[in-house]
Amino acid sequence: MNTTTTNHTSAGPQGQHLDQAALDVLALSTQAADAYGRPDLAQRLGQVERRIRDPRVRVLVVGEFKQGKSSLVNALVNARICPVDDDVATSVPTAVGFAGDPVATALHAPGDDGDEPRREPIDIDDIAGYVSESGNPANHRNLWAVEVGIPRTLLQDGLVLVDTPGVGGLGSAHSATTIGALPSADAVLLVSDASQEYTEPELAFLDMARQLTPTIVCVLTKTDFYPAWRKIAELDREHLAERGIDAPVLATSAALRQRALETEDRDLNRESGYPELVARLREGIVGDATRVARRNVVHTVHAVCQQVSGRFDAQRRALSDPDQQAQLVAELTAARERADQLRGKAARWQQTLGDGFADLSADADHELRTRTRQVLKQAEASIQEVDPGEVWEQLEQWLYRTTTEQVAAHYAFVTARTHELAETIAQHFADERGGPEHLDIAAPLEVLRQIDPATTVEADDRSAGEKALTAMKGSYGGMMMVGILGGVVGLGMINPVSIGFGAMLGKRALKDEQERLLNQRRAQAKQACRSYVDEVAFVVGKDARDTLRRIQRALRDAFTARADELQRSTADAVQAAQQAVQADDAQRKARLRDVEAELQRLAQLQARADALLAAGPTGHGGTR
Amino acid sequence: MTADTPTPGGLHAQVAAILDRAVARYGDTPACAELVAARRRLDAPLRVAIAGKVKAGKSTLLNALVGERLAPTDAGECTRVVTWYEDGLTYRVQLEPRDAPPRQVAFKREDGHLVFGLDGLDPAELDRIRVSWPSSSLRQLTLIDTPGIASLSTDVSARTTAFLAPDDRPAEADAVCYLMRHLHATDVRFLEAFHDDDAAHATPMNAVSVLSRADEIGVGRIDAMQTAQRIARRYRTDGQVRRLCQTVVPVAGLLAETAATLRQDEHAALSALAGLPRADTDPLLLSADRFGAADAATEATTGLSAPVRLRLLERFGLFGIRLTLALTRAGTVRSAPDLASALVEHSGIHALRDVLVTQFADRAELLKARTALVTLDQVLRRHPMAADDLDGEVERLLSGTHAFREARLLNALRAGNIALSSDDTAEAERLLGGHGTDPSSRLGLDTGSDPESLRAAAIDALQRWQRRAEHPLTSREGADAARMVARSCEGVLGDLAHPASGEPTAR
Repeated sequence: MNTTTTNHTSAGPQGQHLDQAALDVLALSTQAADAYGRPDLAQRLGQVERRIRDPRVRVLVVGEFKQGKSSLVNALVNARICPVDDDVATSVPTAVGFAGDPVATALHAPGDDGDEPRREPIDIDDIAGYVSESGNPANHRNLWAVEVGIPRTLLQDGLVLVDTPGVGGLGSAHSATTIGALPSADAVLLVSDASQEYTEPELAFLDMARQLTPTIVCVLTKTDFYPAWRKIAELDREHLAERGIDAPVLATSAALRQRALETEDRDLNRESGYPELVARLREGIVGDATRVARRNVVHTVHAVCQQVSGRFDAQRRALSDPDQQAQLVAELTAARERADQLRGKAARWQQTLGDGFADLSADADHELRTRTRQVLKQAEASIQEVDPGEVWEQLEQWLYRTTTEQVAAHYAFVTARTHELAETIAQHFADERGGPEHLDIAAPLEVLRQIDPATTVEADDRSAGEKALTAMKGSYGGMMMVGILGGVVGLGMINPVSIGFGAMLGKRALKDEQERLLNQRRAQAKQACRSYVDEVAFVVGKDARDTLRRIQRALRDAFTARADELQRSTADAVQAAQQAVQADDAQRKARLRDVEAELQRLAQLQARADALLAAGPTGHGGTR
Repeated sequence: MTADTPTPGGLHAQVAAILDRAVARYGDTPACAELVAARRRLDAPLRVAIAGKVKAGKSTLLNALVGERLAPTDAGECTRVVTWYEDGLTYRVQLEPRDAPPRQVAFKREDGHLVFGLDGLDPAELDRIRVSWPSSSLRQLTLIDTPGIASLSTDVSARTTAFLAPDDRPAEADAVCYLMRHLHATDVRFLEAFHDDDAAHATPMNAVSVLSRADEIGVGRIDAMQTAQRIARRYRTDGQVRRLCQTVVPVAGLLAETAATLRQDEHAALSALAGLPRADTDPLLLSADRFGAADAATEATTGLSAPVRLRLLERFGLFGIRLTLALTRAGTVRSAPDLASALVEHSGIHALRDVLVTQFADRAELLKARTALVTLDQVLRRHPMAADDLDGEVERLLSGTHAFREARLLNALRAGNIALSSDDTAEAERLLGGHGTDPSSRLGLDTGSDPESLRAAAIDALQRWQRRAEHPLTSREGADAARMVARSCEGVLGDLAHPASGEPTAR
């Protein structure tokens, strides 16, 4: 086995840093898999490699409006990318990531014919015309997002900062979009200025966010201006503690940061609180993502090595103790038969998978129906108290927001259940392994452990769960969220519903002032709400079923691939054990040496993979 | 035409008379107390509630309006009970528990603020706190400080909502001054809750929105107030806001409060700072932390101890300090009175006081009369008396009074419910008294205009709106509105003919 020499600063498609050390280990492992005639394992390594080559870590910057979200993003990357204005707010999410040369792209919501967003290159100086309320009021350009790439070391490890429209503004549909985007984010920065402690809506948002996203960092802004910021930070920490929200509160000042960068004043930069935030982003959030990715690499390499080494182990045992050969072959054959059973259509895990998803689908349907019924009940109750002609706009927004929140919660429910199910199935693999413990199947077990996302508390073993999650992002998330966040498709559907809904309602009729028409207006409004909620329930329900089917397939494929690998490895082992005895003594000794050399090489490869975890969070470096 | 000088025969007198009769009629019943209170309220100053989200700056604004630091202000949430500040003969603080007789408590003043205990009572048990304070500002308006809405402790929020928009009785406040920092969905919801469509209510007319903490909008930049003005202008033209309140004014409450209570030594400290070279002061003005730093170097540079500087920060804010230094260096401010008037001017409090004292007071009688009639109406419904003509009269006043009808139409116009061109809408609003009810305000002429030109303008407007009412292409509700506007023009002509009785009359 050759080692390829590496330099540690290779670049991804946009020029961001890639984890070269991990890529090296993967390349070696792929070579090994090919050399041992296991293209199935090489393919599995390829999947892992693709992820390392796209290291994007999405961090959503959220908060009520005018809290300084855009200033925060600008101050982090030291560039005026997101327009900052005392009055005008951001109306379209802006994602700032790495690129060798500055570049900006507007993502238009797809039309009726396609489900891919249309990408329009725009002038980087003209971003305000696309993302701010003044240039693009109420997002009439119908954009999903604007993507910006700039050359910044902070972003080079794959960090993507997403500036979002404020939560809770007049157009509170914004908040729905933000919530919809949460599941696809690696972390959330909640931005709140130091003028006051957290308010109920902010804490409610955090409560929701922690169900949908792994990491939350709270950023207190404008500390230069508010003398009492320490007290506010303390109050905020208390609020978080009371609700059991595990998130640090970092105090920052964009004004000081900006000035510090202009005047190259290190003390002032420290006072701005930004170095701590940058460290949190790099070591904490990006570092975590990198560590998780590396752990995945290490586990996959171990699994591949163990699959391969099963055959050499069998050979070694057969060669070193030929008398036991018959018993060994019998044991290995039994293992192979169990592996064969795992492959069959009638395998118990297949049944669990099928039944589990059928149940889950029904439960999800019921859950969604309960949620939408509650929304409708609330809507009807409030319609009964007001004149819908007067407050229709608010009602519409409320309905839109509440529905989206409920759909987000529904999504969280389905995700949790999917993970549980994946865990149960992995358990079957462990159970069906059965038999005496000294068998080599110990190795394939490692593969199975890896499928199960929940057997260890650490986010070690994400492959299958991750796949499920990715499948979810591709549909559910996509339905609600802005396209960029995950490069997915969707949103189109809710808006047309909502528009058609308004038209159907006939706003003119609602505006009619006649007292005697009030009841009629109420009935009309209720009917409209019902149609809307039904439509959402229908669309979401269908989407949920499709999604679950997709996840089911993904899980089945993943587990089937594991079963195939297992079957192949055990078959190899049986064959190797059988062939081993056919040789004469001298041959046997020579073979034994070869086999031990192979096993040693595999052990070396695993040691090299382990070194990835021992090394610093990122193998490359030299960045500030 | 203010609350203090009701003219005989006017709406006030009619309502007062009908209430007196009701009091006599219900003399021995439990409902009597309510009627007596309503009658007394008719002659009391206009009650303005100051409401808004948590930390919107309600107490600071209240202090600025009173001209004294009475209400406690604090970085956390601090107003937890509805507190009334009213004019009185003596200084007095009275707790009014829900289920017990009122009790007076001792108070002291710390750094100007009123400090008193709740006498062992839980805030939740208190209906209100009543502070009597001899003050010329309170003689015109009774101010009511309310706990923040969307407050973290939800029962605090609920208390405010229940006070301002009760389900079961007329609101205790005649008008509301709603503070917001930016317009949020919760602000809109709040204004809507206060906005109800009860027949005689004239809601947008008795609500004004204040863009509060305006000095913080630019995060302390020296042009913050101009920006705040620009934002307020945008909100004023926003359909949703127009529908819910009369106008939007930006106010920097902290500046106004400090200006009203400015001390000589504060001015001295700031002018000493202004005398230092900018190279020395600029780094200090970068952040509140730097300005208040306790190290020896800062103390030596500024010649002020850290506690003194922290105190200045608390009183002026970073924006106020930057502004004062700039004005002093420019030579605009030379003395403490100079500084006080400059701060007042920048704070925007004058514009708010104008709205409250002129526009609200203008309508005070109408608002109070409406409140009284609604109270009476509810009493009559709950305790009907056989063979009584009172309810008929209440009904006649509520539905027949042109001023009420004007107010309703104004609401409808502001809500965009009546299809008129925007120019016509603006003119109709003006003629209906949307900018003030005296003839010149209605006609859009200068206050000093001579009676003849006023008359000519009124006749011109009358004829135009009559033609509009009769035009065959005018929609039905448009024609109704035009007739109402024409009726207002007639009213103006009547007022011009008999300048002494400028009262809205019932017919």
